Amino acid sequence: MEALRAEKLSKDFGGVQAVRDISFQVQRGEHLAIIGPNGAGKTTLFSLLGGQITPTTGRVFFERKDITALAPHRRVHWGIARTFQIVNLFSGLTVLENIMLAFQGTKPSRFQLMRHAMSYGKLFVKVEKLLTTMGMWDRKDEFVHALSYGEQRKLEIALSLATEPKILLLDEPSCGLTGAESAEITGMINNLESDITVIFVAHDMDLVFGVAQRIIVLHYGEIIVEGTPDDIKNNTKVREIYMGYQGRAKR
Amino acid sequence: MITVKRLYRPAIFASYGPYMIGLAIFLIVPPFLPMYVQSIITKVAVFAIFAMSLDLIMGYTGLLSLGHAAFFGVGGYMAAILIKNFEITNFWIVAPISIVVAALFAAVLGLIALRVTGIYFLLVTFALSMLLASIALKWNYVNGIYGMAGIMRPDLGLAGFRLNHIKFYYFVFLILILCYFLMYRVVNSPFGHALRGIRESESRMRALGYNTWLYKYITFIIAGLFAGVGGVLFTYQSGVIAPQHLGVTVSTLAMLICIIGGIGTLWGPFVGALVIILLEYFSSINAPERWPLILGGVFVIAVMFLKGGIAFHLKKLWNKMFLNGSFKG
Repeated sequence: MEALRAEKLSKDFGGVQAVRDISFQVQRGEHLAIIGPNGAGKTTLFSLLGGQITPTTGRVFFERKDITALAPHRRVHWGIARTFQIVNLFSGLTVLENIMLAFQGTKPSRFQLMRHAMSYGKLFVKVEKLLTTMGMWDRKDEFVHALSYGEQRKLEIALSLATEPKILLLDEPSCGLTGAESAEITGMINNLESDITVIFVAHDMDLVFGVAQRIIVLHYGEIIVEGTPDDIKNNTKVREIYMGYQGRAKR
Repeated sequence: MITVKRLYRPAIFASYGPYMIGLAIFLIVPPFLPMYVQSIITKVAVFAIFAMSLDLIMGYTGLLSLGHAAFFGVGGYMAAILIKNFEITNFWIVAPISIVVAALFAAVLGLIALRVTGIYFLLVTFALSMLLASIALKWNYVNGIYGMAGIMRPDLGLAGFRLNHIKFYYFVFLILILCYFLMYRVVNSPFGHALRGIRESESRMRALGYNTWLYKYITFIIAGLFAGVGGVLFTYQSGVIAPQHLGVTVSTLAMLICIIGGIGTLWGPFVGALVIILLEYFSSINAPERWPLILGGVFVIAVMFLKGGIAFHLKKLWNKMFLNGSFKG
């Protein structure tokens, strides 16, 4: 079943066309990686899907419904959650408060004015479950600015999982992590429930080939190649983009 | 060691001690004070309510407003208009109408001010409050530059019961406690937690499904409402409301009270109001013309040596004094 579809998406910033005529679709439960060199338009494409910016032309469909004009916070209610390339957390709050906020964002109780925020027992159970699977339960009372970078990265993903998404948009989930931490993220994504669709951007090829079932390669805002990990590995065009012209070296 | 702990530190005292001590002092001591000091403490309570309302948008939501006095002044003016021009004396009619009008003003001005963020929000709120002040300055209906004076202490509509100095103090203090309680509930609710989330990262809040604009707007109205409460009580307490009470001097005073007392704590503004209003009183006796200089000096000292405000350091001291000190405030 189709989860998300982009139709001829383009985005201009002044004279620069960051994203050009991009069309693709993702099936439910699929893990799709978007790769490409710096400046290829990956983050712009992500913001178009997440609703942070609106496309110049083209449309976005979620489960066959047009969401192009839908505000980002509404998209979350529909089930599209995203993380940020640069860690974007509530650094002055504790881990527990961060996760509580994330859980409450899609519940009607988020507008409750008089009841104590920590009195929601049912939510609390979910918070405990999520933090335990993340291995962060014993860090729950720590302020976020006191966490290590790797833990902040994990929390970043935990926050988007707490919105109970159908589609998870991960923007460079392993950016700046060590190999071991990155492997942990890979395991985490592979252990997600099978009906959660994951679209992610990454430079880390271990993560890409460890998680993705299909890969899209962007270059200068356009889709160059689309295919399975094996196709991409053997594609000469992709090698050219990443390694330069090998033909010339051979000659 | 453990037995000593149990003897001297019941958990309830470690958690709620500051409230108990504060309540005890402000309930028991005032009757024994001279009358003019009683009216000073009444003024402290009034400004505490006003500064707490500013803390909602400044400390919790992270919006710096230089126009918060607009709602303070509108509440005060509305009360004065009802009393002087409509000759309605009953407090239970005057106060609710004035407070609602202040909240309505906040609802309208909020629509304009919340179109922008950051420093522009500061400027727009500043401009809007100065606009209201200049209207009051030229409007004969509210006595223009002279303001509206000669307002008596409120008539509570109880036969044979008149508020004298000390009873009026208790009345205002009761309203302060009520306002504190309500605002405390708000900032500790899911809604209040969302406000702190917005302060920390608004883009993240949107990515979690929160309509951040609506949160800021509702908070702006709530803060306007409580500022209106402060304004109404101020009119009764001082007996006069004038154009400058709508303007930037009162806004900055509230902001300084919050910063010196400690933003993001609610009871910090109360401590700040106590310090500032008492200082103002002493300077008015000894060197009235030096007040802005003293205020400026105190502010600089507070920023340099009391980072986080008095409340933050008092809280730290309290929790250090008691090993299981868990006062959160």
